[in-house]
Amino acid sequence: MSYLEIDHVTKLFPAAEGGGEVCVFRDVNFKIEQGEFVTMVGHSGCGKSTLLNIIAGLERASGGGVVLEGREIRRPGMDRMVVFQNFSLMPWMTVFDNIRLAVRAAHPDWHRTNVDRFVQRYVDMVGLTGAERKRPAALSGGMRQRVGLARAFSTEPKVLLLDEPFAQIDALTRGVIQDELVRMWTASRSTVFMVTHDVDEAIVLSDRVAHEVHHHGVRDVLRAREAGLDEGEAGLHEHDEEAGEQGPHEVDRYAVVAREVGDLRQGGLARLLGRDVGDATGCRPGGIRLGRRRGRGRRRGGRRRGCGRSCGLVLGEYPPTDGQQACHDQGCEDPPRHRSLD
Amino acid sequence: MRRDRLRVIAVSALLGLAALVVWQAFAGGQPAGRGVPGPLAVAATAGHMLANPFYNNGPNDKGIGLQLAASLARLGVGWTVASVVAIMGGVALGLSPTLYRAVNPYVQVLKPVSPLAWMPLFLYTIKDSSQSAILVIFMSSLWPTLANTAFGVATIRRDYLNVAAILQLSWWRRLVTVILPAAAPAIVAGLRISIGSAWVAIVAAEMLIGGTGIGYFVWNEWNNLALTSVIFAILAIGLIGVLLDAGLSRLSRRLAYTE
Ligand SMILES: Nc1ncnc2c1ncn2[C@@H]1O[C@H](COP(=O)(O)OP(=O)(O)O)[C@@H](O)[C@H]1O
Ligand SMILES: [Mg+2]
Repeated sequence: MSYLEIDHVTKLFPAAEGGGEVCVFRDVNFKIEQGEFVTMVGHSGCGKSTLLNIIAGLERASGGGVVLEGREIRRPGMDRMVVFQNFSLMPWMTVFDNIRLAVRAAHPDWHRTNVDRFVQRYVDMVGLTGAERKRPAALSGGMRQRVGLARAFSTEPKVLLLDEPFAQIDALTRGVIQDELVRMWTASRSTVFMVTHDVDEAIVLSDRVAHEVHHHGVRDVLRAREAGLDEGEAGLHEHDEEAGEQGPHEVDRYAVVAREVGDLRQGGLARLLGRDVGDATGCRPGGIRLGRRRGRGRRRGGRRRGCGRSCGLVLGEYPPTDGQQACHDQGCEDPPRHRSLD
Repeated sequence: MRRDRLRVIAVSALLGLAALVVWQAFAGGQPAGRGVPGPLAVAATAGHMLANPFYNNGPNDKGIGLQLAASLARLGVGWTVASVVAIMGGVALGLSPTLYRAVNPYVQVLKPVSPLAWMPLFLYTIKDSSQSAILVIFMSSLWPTLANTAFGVATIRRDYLNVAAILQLSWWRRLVTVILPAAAPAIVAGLRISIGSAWVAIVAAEMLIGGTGIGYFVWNEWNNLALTSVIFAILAIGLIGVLLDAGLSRLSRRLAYTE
């Protein structure tokens, strides 16, 4: 039993017009171990936020379920904190009060001075000392997201869910805050699931771990990266073999890259995560590409495949493919074309 | 910017002065005791009344300060109770789309009813004219706050409620730390409209019930044919209305937020 299991999750939304339902994704299936940092990449509108919200408990899956520590997730809870793309800070509260709201919720029995000291610690940690009394509107995007991170980390959640946390932050600041995220994650050792539309961001974060978190899995990460995603399954197999006993399960950050329609590698994620090869990754009408990517060079058009029976995640564009056909076979409607709610 | 303001003030003062001059000329051209009294006469009465605003010589002869205080007390009670009820109801309606749509037809029917139309019903049921007046104020302050609160709560951004849900706030904390502050600008806008229409309604209500209050005062002075007092009372009513609105406007600035 894994720590966090996304178990054949399917999401249908009522279609905008003419009744029926739209399948956002079907049978998404993967597992995350405790302390891991897993990133999922997909186009805007492909259902990343929806999946994340299901894990957060803010939305219900239409099929399948999410299991955390052996217990099914049905509603939001303090064990899973979300960092939102649009920060979602309470604009009528100061920076301090925003974080305090979370700390008080996490520790209802604490004395006020205790709470305040704890809040201050997180304010200092994200470098917002001196800005405690400001309202979010008076802060830059980068500073707001620091508040968002501080708020999330201050509750010491088991699982941290990051929904494109850096998308609205300028490139220079982004790097700094990504560093802060890595630092806080390293210190807290919580499990992180991040979604982003930015392949580079996923890679950058993965890279940094490889450089900064020194443990015996690093070599394998680098090796896998050299093999590269586009080498296809063979490359990953190769990696598996080379990794030998150490195996990739000791690697603790993954970028799950799902970009191109029809580019599905079933089981790829599972292999990356080093367990349960076979049924572990379901995906989509269209496609998902799984694996770590290497450097900046981006090769397109890897081998394409239909997704067969276990069709799931609508991650990506939507020209009809055999994958989508497979989806029809399962009685679910066309996925929407690139609509984004974010 | 400053020069603009000065210009506005100058034009405003000139217009006011011109109106006073025309009014005085018009009043002066009429035989004494028949036409409308001019501003000079009104000013004389005002000085007289303001010299001793709180005297009390029995039911038909009270200072204007006492009359205004009586009206404001009624307003305070009626409007406060109505506001509490309307905010609570509005929050419930705003949180539940089903309830909102179920209740909306009734609200739409009741909203256009003049609050004074309720007066006979109140007089008949509670048999107390003063409390009836308060209930009229209640009715006139209810709908704007109710509608605005429901709208404000219904349009709270999903994100804030999501955060509240993730933090598992109790419903009370959710109400006071998220829902009410988020909807506060809309609620205060409703409160402003409410207090305005309540202040409008109270004059008419007090004319009907008699006894005390600025509305009764106006009617009484009319019966005495003391038009200078009537005109001065009109000005006082207007001024108080401005002050009430200014107070709530300050509150609304305090509670406003930018996303
Ligand atoms: N409440 C909803 N009702 C109907 N369709 C929705 C709803 N929420 C999201 N969708 C659709 O589901 C798809 C996935 O949305 P989302 O998860 O926000 O994508 P992403 O976060 O990857 O950009 C989009 O095409 C969007 O239009
Ligand atoms: Mg999104």
